[in-house]
Amino acid sequence: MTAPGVVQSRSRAAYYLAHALGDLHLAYRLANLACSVVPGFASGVLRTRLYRLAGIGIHPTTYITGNLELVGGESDGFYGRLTVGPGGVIGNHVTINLDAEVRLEQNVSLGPFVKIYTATHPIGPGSNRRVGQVLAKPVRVGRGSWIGLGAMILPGVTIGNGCIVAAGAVVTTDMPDNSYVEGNPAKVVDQLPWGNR
Amino acid sequence: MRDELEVTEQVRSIMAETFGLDEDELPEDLTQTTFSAWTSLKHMLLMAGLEERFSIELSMDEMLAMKSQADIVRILRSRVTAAV
Repeated sequence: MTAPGVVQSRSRAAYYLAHALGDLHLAYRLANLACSVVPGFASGVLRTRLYRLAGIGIHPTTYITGNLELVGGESDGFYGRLTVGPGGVIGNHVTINLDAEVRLEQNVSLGPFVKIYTATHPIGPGSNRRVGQVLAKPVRVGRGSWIGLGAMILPGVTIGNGCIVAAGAVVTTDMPDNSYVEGNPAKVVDQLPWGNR
Repeated sequence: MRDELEVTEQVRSIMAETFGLDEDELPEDLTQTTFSAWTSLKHMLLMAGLEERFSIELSMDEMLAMKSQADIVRILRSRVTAAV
């Protein structure tokens, strides 16, 4: 007869194993692997199809020029947290953290090396500034916006419709519709025309 | 057809405003490739300024074809004539 403690420890091991396997996000990794073995010119549309097969909410008209780096997020709901609207373009080496929802609306373009993060932490006392608990804050990029090369969008930020974020900008706060923003921390530099067309 | 000189004057006035310069500081043969202040962002603001001043809506092809002062004047003259 097995001692109750052993049974408990086995089930705990099974629990952790199941979690570890889930956190590997196998379907997404298989999609990335498949994308890596097809030629670059053919893979823009193919990637979208494979990610869709893996259960990620990417619209079929999105064009993805390099494998997505989807980071973090527990297995439950991981695939459901990314939404990419119609007409999107996602460049090479884009990293998206999915601890909270990331929503890219219609015709959003992400340049190469863009990073979108949703996870942050509370700040603790001097002995431990980064408190371990994860604070997950969703990010939304509005319709038609263009995020330039290497820009970073930090947790909780909403970028309005029709914005341009300049290369290398670090966006720490919400940006209103049709703004041109640049710098670190990113500031609105200009209001852009043609908001309604 | 609208007078070329009149259109050119209006275009240069909008360019000066867009680039934040006096009209005297703008070179005569202004082109996008030789004038460093004419960035892609300024180009868009310039197009918006032209649309407002001439009360027209430019097509994407026309905006892409406007690579110099001469191009802008040529396209605007054809548009303004067509509208009249």
